[in-house]
Amino acid sequence: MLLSIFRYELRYILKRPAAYLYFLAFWGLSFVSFAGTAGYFDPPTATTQAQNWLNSPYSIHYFLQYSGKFFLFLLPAVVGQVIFKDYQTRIHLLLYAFPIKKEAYLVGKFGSALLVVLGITLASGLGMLIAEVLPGMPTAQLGPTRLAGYLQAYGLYIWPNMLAQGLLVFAAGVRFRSRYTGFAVVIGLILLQILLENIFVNQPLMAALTDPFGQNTAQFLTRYWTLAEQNTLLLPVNSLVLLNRLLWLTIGGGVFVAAMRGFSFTETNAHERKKKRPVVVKNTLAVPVASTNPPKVKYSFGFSAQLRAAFRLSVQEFRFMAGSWMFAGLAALGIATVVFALLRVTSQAELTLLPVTHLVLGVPTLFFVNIVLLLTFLYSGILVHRERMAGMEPLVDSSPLPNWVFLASKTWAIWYLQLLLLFMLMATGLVMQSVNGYFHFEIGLYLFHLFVLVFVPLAIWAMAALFVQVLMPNVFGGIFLLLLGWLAIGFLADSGFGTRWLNFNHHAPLTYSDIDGYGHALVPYLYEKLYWLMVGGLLLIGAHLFWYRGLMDQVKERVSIAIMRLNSPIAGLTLFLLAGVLAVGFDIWKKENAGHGNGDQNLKQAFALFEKNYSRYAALPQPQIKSMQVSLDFFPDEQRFQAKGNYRLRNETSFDIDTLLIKTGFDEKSTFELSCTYSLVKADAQMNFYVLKLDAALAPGDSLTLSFTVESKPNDFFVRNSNVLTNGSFIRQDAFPRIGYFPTQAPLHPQDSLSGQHNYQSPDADRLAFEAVVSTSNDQVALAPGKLLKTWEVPGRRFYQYRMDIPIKFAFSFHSGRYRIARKQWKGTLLQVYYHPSHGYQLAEMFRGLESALDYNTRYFGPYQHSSATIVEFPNSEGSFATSFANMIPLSESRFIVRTHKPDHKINLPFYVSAHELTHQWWGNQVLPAHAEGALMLTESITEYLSLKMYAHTFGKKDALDFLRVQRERYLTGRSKESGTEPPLVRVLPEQQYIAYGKGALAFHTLGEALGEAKLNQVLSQFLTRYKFKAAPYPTSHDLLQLLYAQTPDSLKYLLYDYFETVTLHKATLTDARVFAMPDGQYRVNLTVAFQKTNGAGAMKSEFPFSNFLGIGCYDEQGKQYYLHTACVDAGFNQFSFTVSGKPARLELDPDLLLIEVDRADNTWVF
Amino acid sequence: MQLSIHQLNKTYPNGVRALNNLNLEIGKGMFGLLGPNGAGKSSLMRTIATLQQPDSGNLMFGEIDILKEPMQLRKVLGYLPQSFGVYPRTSADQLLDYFAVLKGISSPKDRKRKVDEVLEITNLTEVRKQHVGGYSGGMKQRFGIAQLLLNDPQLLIVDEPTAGLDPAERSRFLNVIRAVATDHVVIFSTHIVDDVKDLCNEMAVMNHGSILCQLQPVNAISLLKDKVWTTTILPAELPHVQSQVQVLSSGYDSQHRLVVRVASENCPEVDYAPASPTLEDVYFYFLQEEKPPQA
Repeated sequence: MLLSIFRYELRYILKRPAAYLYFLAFWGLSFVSFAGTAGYFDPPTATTQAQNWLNSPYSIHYFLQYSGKFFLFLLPAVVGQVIFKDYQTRIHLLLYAFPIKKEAYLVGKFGSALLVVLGITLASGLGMLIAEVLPGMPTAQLGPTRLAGYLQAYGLYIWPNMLAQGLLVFAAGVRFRSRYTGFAVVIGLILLQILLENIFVNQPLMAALTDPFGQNTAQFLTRYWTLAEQNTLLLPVNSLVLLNRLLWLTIGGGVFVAAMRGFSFTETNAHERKKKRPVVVKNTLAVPVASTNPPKVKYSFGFSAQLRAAFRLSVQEFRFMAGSWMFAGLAALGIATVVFALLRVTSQAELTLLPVTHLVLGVPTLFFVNIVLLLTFLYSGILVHRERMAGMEPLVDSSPLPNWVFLASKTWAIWYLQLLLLFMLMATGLVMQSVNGYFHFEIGLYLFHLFVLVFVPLAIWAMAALFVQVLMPNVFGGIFLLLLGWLAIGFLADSGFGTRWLNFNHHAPLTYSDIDGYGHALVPYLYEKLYWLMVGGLLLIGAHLFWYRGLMDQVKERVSIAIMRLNSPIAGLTLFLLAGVLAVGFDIWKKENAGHGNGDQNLKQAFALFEKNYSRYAALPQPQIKSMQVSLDFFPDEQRFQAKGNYRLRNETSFDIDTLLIKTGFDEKSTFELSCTYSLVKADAQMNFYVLKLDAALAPGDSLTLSFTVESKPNDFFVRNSNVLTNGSFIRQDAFPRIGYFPTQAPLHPQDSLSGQHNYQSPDADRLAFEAVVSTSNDQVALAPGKLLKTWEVPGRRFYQYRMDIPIKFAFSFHSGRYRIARKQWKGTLLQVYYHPSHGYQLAEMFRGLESALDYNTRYFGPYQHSSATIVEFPNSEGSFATSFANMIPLSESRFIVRTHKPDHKINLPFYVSAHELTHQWWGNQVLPAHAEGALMLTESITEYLSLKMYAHTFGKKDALDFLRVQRERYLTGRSKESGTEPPLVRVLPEQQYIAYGKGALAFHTLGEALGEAKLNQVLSQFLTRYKFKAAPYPTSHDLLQLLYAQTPDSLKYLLYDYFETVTLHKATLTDARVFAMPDGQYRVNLTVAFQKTNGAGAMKSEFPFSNFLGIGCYDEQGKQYYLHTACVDAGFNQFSFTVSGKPARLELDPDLLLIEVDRADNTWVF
Repeated sequence: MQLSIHQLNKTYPNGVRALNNLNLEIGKGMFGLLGPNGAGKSSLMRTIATLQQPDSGNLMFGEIDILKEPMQLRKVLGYLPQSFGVYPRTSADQLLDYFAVLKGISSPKDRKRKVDEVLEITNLTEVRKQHVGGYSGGMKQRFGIAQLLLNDPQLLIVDEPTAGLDPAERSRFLNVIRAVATDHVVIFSTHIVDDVKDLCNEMAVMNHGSILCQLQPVNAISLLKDKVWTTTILPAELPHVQSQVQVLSSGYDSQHRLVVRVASENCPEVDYAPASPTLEDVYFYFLQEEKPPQA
């Protein structure tokens, strides 16, 4: 019986086109995206960098899991439909009378539908497989074809997922006898995954165990994989994977069995039977009489009556949606997701942010909007087909209301639903803010963002969704089409295809800053939305014309009826909207193509051409900028600036210089003039590069003056070309002319004898005298480096004159904003924070950080070189970083909204950032490293280490360990994303921050623990004194390493080799531990430790010239460390014992994180 | 008020000719449309109810050209389709309020009064708070009448409403119809002859998309006066009898023999006895008179 049901259903599904269409769609998507990513459609390019292989088991799994989210929607469409079909055709009334066992009936149906789904999912793998063996496929990102990768992805993840979730969807269909509950289950599962991910953000093991799709399970097991490992290894199969799979299969199976138990062959389902009240049939044969006095009621069919009817119906439709359990469940899950997403956003590994409004409106809102969109797609289908699904259409269709009333009521109802969800989001945000003790409620911002900026695009999507659902004969087809369109639009827009007037309702997410709001992007955003609103209007007209009413069987009939419905008012409206769409669309097209900016013309190509034409000038001797005088005027209201100034250029080489190379700002319009006569030899207009021939060569030691003007390019409608914001402008040195061939040369090896020639930041200047006059509108403050000499006002404008007491490196910034200023004195040094008035939460910690840095650095490394230190806040739109220029520390807005009460295991960020950036005044400014590999070791690594020391002195060892933990994580995750070969610390490249900061801090910390803090600082101080304020030759990491070697005892030199000169990873395992009570009341601990070191590629290093030091912490019942034993270990197994006063409850190897271990799980022993 | 149907044609995409040059004039009162399943009754009803476009032809209700101004007709139309569903888990008064909105009653107070009235007429007042999905067949059909009455229709179209009702429900339903039908044009389609006999003052027999005859039930019987004969035969003899005379109907008696009724000017055989004609005889007579349509 089971088999025949199975076969019958299978044949039924396979006779219909749907399954084949789904297969084709998935096949095409995966083929195109694989081939596209591999570069099949791009012109050939040569890359030498190692890349991720697209066909490694790791990538296959990653891609199929991504597709897996869309496979999910097959479940309600195929598996859900197989049971619902019987109810829909009411054939179940017949079937149920047959002698069929319910188990056979349900299992047979489920099995056949699941088999079809499994078959369809194969399409994606097949698409990839065909793409990877396709002749002509670029091979840069391809490894050998490995079927095992596909087998693993399907066998371990995709198919078990389909089975487990298919069981859930099917059970929901059996239980509720509704075709939509399956869809709700799918959305619920997706939400659940996000929810679990956010709940367990700090317990990744739990996230891995509970993930409904096993995505986080695989992610967890491969999180520290390096590129080579990602390319070659199969996915790990261990108990965690099996447990996760088993968990969800059990849940699916359990729910299925429960639903099967409750199922019976009756006309109504169990769920309805319970609810239904018995109908009282009054058996009266009394002949009814038409009332002799019928009530007088008014029938109205005018426009206003129809509007009222539309409203009344929309309320009814809305109640139907919002009042259902399905909606309540999904909305609750969505809100829970938002809550946890917000918790995650506000408490990242190292940051604990305040839940300010723009954070609520950031990532959590983006999440939620996608949920609203899915519900829009679903409910627009449900509403469009609602009457027909209920079988009520003959009654409704013969009523005297025009189509537009129905369409309007359904459109409005979807809009109400969207508004309701957004309102719930806002309420959640406000509650979360209150709960977190944040009471700066920005209701206006909430309302504007959610109910204008977010709602309008959602409303447009609702129009499109209704249109599609009206055209499509069934809800799932409509949802699929909409999902596909939505994806494709995002994909096309992201890959640069199409333009604003073609990418339906697409937009880059707006970033909001408390300082300058939405900035320049707001007006074009609204303009684009106006355009899409009109397009949406046209789609609604389309929906009206094709509205299904009465019997319309043929496409031809529907088209001819649609044409008939195009009567004069509709045609008029259509023409009106069409004219609007064309006019605005043309305007958008024009604005898009008439930019002043650099746009994204093929810069790569232009750059390559430039290098070809001009690289012969690269080695030409050039003068150095010795002084700069500039006056710069901000015009915040017009978002522009202009500047005028001059450089004194001095020939510091021993050659005559007759050719001068000048590059002016890429985003600015600049002019320049020299104090001597010259002729222009060559110019590159795109790169703003000029080759000048001086009529009289500049002799060694001679100077000349270059005067220049710079102004920002006019802003375009869509793009702000200038760096000037309405508030919080931040202009850096790259706006000004530079001398010499500019493309950055690769840093030299630190031991290369030429490496000391240039410093790591500016080949055209070592240190220069600096003076500036900055002006801005009179409601703002303007800043430049140096000491404020005087300020004055002219009507409408305010001027500030700054001068530097000592020469500075060529790295500086100008700011203008409506700041509030906090000031403090430290031993005669002026400390200031320029901040946005509502961002004063962390001033005390910032001052504490600055003071701590001044205390510590002046104690060990000599005096601070400036008379003031100023932190300046800049908006999010300019970045989320912090940096250090002369006496100024520009600090992103996002570092100002940090929570005042620091939770456990988090970093006190304002303190740390302030201390770190000020420490750069010694390491980076007093010492200026050479442009060589390892430069960042002299700036970032040392600075990060010293910040750690300050942190430890201020907050204690426990908090310092948290700081170290963040650095370890940063290094380990950073190296897993490394696309090249990981270099040792002494050769770190500028972009390798995970080494410079993360490993650097670990390395110096371990060295400092071994040598002693004072001793290491003494060596550093010696190094600093040698190079302080010196011009070329600049120091390299190798110079410091030599000094360290000279001052480190032989027994510890292995540290320099392991941590600085090579990539070394440790592996310490506590394989056995025993405790014996001794007669004197003490305890003897015997333990065995396996120890080894590997290099970056994972190869074992077997011979160490010296024993390694290893700490073993003993902890009591309360988890408190009461003894730390230091032992020496060699490669292999090491046994040792020591005596302690109390009985240890737990032992932990290397509790102070002195080693660099990927996996610390086997470091502890619990008795 | 008069419904005039002129030269109506409709062929479905699968080739079935549902309406075939159909002409019909219907005045005030109950009009019964008799025909076997598949005769085209529902197609005709749907076309009158503006739910379906004919291929050609004319439809006038009074001054209203139904094909050109469907909205005008819908204002005065009450339609009870052959089968219909309702929103699940919704009570009768909620649904009726919804339909009242559709039928142009803007004021909530008016809607309440009208809904109460139609509930009263259809004897559903007591069960108005219960879900219509849980109604019995007869109650559901009465609910169909209730919604139909909301706009005080002048043209009522009732498509096979008694199919599947038990005798008590059927008689209750017919009583309701009779009570509301006065003074309106009511078209009542059925394949149950008794419905027409009990209810209609005028009737037509339809098959293969055409009207075979249009007459008054009271006069109809006189058409076959002295022309209906009956006899009892063995089942095996039926083909032979059919080849000899026009058999109107046949049915088994308690001895498993066939009682046949035939139409004939004269007594066909000696063992035939004269029978008084019934409306059913008339119905079968016209169905058999019809020439097979030239497809």
